[in-house]
Amino acid sequence: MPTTALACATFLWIALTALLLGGALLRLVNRQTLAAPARLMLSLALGLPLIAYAVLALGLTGYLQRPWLAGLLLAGDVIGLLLGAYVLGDLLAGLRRMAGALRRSPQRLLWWLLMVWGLLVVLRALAPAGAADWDGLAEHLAMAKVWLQHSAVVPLWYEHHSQFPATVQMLYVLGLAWGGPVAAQLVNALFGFLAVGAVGWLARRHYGRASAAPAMVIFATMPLVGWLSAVAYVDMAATFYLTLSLIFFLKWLHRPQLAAALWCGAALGLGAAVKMQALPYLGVLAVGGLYVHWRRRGQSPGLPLRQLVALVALAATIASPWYIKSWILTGNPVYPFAYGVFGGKEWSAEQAQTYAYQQKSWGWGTLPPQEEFWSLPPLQRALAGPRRPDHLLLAPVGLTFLPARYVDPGFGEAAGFLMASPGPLFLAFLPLLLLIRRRPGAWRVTGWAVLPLWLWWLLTAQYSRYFLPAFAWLAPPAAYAAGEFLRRRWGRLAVNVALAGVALFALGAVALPLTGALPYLLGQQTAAAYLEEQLPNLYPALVYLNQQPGADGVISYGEPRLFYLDKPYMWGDPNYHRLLLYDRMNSGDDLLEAYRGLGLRYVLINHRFFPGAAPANEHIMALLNEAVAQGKLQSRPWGAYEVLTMTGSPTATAK
Amino acid sequence: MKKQRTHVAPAPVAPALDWRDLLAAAWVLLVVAIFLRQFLAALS
Repeated sequence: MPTTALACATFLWIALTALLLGGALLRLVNRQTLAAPARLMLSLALGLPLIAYAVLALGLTGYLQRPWLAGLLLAGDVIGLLLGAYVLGDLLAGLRRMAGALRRSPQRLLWWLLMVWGLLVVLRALAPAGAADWDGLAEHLAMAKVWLQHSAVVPLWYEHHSQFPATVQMLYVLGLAWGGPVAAQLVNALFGFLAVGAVGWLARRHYGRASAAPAMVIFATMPLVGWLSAVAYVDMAATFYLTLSLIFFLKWLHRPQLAAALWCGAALGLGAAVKMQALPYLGVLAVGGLYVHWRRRGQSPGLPLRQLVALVALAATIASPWYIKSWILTGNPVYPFAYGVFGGKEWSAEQAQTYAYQQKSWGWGTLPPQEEFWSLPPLQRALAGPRRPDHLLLAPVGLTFLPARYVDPGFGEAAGFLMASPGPLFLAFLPLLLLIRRRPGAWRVTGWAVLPLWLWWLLTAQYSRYFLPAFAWLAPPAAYAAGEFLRRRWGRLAVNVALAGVALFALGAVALPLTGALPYLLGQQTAAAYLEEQLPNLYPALVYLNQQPGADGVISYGEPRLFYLDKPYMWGDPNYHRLLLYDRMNSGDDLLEAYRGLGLRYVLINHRFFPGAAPANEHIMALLNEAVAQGKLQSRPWGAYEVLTMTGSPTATAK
Repeated sequence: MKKQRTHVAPAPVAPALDWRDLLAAAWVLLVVAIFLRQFLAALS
């Protein structure tokens, strides 16, 4: 594990290069007068994906090696220093402005709160990915590490997420190259801070100066944001870009100039290059633009259709490399979604159904068992479980008070509140808009834009963090509504009590996991000892596997979090891929033969999740048990985990 | 020019009971209170 100092240095190198490069690009494409904080934000918004796309180019051509990556950053530094050095002045000006706000602003308490929150997030990010970072360890960090090991961005057929847009993961590759997971986590934290800043910008520009700090506090104190800023996910980056897109969309509606339309398109494109969930946002803003164009026909100022076309075309162009890559590799640009339309390699109708069932199971309500669910009449199926009409109507209440329903069941009730909850301030403040006579124009646009996104979320996958960008859009109107009641006697008391209470709760939620990381952060505990505590039994099992000689691979069941595994590996659960056709295997020998064909020698099982009750899993477990009984697999238990090793000589070279 | 003082202090005006203010305050506190209560219940 690289030292914390090396991780910080790696992060600073990436961030400064991005800032300089973005500054250079900003100077080329936009000479309009922007305030220093906006220039800073846009420089990073452009520079970070610019570097990521360059890493992707290296990855697709097989040059994903440290010397090339270092050369890339150095080239970026040279270009950036030549053309974009002025942003360093902006950085200093921004820091001075922040210091001024902390000292003199009437809202300085809120600024101090944001500072403490940011500090806690950074401290969290300084400890290597642990228990709170499921998707980081399973997907985002893991695929970046495997690509770095392969020196290329190759399809990982056991892992369908590797076909998703991976702009942020390209930056994680850079972080992992020298700084380990901590450098990657700091990159994600930077996106978290940028998202908070973008919410402030949205509020200041479209809801009034006084709304900026409260909007940032409302957004940052969402437990979801505290959690997602401190791990290695990609939601904060998507939220950042989608918030920028709304800033420019509103600006474009207000004063229809091509530059604003292009900025909006660029932000939407970058959002879609980070996460597929940006596509509905692109759709909603495009349709909204079309509607406004129609409403304003013959009026001045209208909304020129060609600007809307330019907006969509730029968004599509920027995001396209990822979708084209997926189309070429899998036959499906949005793999593995829309399987019925596009199909997809190493995927099947059955897997698509299981995937859809899992997504429909999130939310307040219980779906019938899978087979029964798919045999229901279409209308009954559409309104089953979390989509029961009363649950749909009460979803804002459910999401606020029952957050654990809107994530995977493994989270547990308390973590649902501390990590996956949007907090109570949206439900508390947004309805106050109904009691205000004069509402800002931006709210009308935002409200109508959020409505279809909310319906989309309700009908597809009711997973709390999938709605995060819309929460970022809603934080400024929530702050505006709260601000209106700050002028009244009882409203003032209630808003202040609510903000103070939620702020304390949110700071506690971010700080709580720090207590476990403190010995490591203070140098009193090694990274290995920390990770053993964070990932009990799993981390020791992975270390044991890393210590085994040879290049034979590992197959894992019920446990996708394999980032710390250095050997070649693949996920084995039948829902993930079709590399192993378990239903055609009738004996332990068939299974072992298939393993040998893929260069696998070790089996890792997390018995907490495998085999469970699924018949397909039980079949695999029976085959494994048969091989163990015949002495062809040797078992070594690690608590809930078990490592099985093929006896005899090592197998063929790993695939 | 020196500002003239008024000889008669303005009579205090009792603020009209603003039902919106009260409703908003009650709603905000209710939501936050239920959230915290639910969280405490989740802990136990």
